[in-house]
Amino acid sequence: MNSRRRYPKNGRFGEFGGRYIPETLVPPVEELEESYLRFRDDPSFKAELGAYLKNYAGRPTPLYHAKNLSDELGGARIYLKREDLLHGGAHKINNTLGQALLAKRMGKRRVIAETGAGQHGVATAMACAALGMRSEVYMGSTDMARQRPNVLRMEMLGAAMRPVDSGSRTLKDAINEAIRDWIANVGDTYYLLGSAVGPHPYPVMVRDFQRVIGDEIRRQVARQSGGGGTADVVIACVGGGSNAIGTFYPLAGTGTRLVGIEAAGRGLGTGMHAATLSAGRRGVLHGMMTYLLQDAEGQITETHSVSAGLDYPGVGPEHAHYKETGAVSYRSATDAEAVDAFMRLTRTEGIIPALESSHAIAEAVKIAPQMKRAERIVVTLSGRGDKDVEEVQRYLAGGR
Amino acid sequence: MQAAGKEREEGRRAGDGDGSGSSGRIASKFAELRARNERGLVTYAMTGFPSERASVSAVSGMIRGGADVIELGFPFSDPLADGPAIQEASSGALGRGATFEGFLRTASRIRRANRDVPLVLMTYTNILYNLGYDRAASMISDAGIDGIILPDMAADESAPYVAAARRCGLDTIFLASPNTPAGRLRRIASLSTGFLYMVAVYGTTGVRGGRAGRRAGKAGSSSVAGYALDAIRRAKRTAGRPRTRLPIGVGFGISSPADVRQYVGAGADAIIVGSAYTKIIKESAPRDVEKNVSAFTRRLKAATRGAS
Repeated sequence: MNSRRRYPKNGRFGEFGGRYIPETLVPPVEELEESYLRFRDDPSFKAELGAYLKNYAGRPTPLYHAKNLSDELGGARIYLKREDLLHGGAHKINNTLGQALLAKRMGKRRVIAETGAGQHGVATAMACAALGMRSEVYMGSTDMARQRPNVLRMEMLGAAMRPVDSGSRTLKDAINEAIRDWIANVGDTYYLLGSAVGPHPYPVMVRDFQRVIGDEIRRQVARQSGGGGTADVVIACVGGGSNAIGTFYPLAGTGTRLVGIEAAGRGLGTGMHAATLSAGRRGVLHGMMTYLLQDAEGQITETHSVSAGLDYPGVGPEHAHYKETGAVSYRSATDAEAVDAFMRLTRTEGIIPALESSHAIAEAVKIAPQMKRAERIVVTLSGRGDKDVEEVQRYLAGGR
Repeated sequence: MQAAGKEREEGRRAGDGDGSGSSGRIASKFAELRARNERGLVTYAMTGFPSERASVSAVSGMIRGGADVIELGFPFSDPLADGPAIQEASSGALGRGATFEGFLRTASRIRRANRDVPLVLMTYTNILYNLGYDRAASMISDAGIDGIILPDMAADESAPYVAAARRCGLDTIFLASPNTPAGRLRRIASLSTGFLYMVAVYGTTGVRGGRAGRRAGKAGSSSVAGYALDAIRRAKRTAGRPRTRLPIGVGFGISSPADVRQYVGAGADAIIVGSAYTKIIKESAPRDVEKNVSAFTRRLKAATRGAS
């Protein structure tokens, strides 16, 4: 059932998703959908993408038994899906290689992207450099300040940075600005969206490019248990939700408990968080109907998270659907819990996780002690945390 | 088919609630303009920017200067179809605490002072979705507003919104773009009442869109792109033919009487000007807003008459 590709009718996951966009974007979005459907099953496209994923990005990624962490917590065995080992340091490259190859086959000469933490921007710049394409990256000026190393990397990789000073100057505003650019340049421009959000077909296309994570987890867990076995719990962090949907989609309905972790920031009660599914309501933003953090008037509210990559007031529509159907449980971890998990994994395993992924680790830290030794937890370690060391140091020094 | 369409048009023109949803004020206005062989001028003001009072003065200036339809903007936090001028107006109005209730009070006030001028709300989908389309439509209609424009409401997603608007007799004004194919244009026109909003440029409001647009701007003294004029002619052929005779309004990036004359020459039934007003309103001293807006409106309106 899960190997079959489910393609949502009208781009809807239950009631969520769809295509709420200015009319100028309808023809390019339709062109994108047609091209995607044509190429995704094209043997030469699949072979080319497969070769890039293997030899350029470094797939498959290992499933690592974090023995020290598991022993320290006492309880379930914790495994890490090491997306942090991919080229660029995050799962984002799975999607950017897929979309950049698609853009190239569509004959688009110019690629634009938005980025929050900078990981998607870096992965876009890398994929475009490898494929000989120009890229321009929109990034909120607040994010540029707190993710300086990634800005430098993007510039060195040849991407033109487009700072965004509107709104809260973070990811949501970078998406607004990228959409505005696309409206103005529909003919030659490909918008390489970085998460499983936006108008149809982006949520389904990004999911399909990221499902390699969950497909590999399934195979690797089965192999490690000597055939047939499945993980008891699989955890991933959720901002827009691309690593999580890539993790969950192939595992939904297999009996594994799936848990998505949102950023609770300073606590759900403080209003300073980015936990869209936990505390949001339905609405329409960035071309999709989904859960949103908004005020009583329907104005989108500002979010807070110690991790720039989770700092987004919306969430992929398929997650909204999974929440409604109960296929996945969505919980949250605070800044403090994430930073604690960040330090704990760094110390016990010698692995510095991204602050985003640290939210998922924090959930494993919470639940592992209550589980049996025979049980297995898999955490998608979506990225590495080199970019975050300064932020964590500031946080621990009390400068949050 | 021809006859049924004719009937529908007659009904709409008379505004007799034939199911086309038109409240009548917009349709009557365009009928009146047609009778005078004149084009319409649709003007936009963001309510609450730079203050509630200034935006109300601006609307008075527009009406005094001869505007035919008034678009009242209600701000959304993420106006992705808007350029810098309206983005700034949106965040300014929200910063001053704009609420939808407050907007409706302002609209009612404008309606009480002006019985006949068509009023159209322009905002984003989430504002109405958040209230529930039915509740939103009845509140909007009760405030004396005649129609709605949602730049991020694609025709494909519009069924519940259109149904709610129809129930309350509100016109639904959809946008079309120069790259909208003919079949889709017909569909958009069939969902539109009042008028069809033809976007003149590839880009957001207020700016000359993108690199193609800038090239067009450089080519001659006028900033009007050839593709925009073609688009108007195409829209006239598909949407504006006698069967439905849906008026074609052209907007985005129009700021001068010269632009107006070009679009009118290509067959536009109405010209829509927004960001240029936002700039004038922002730069005028509070007591000069009405006067300056009225003077600008007169110049634009003259251009809509001159070329016909």
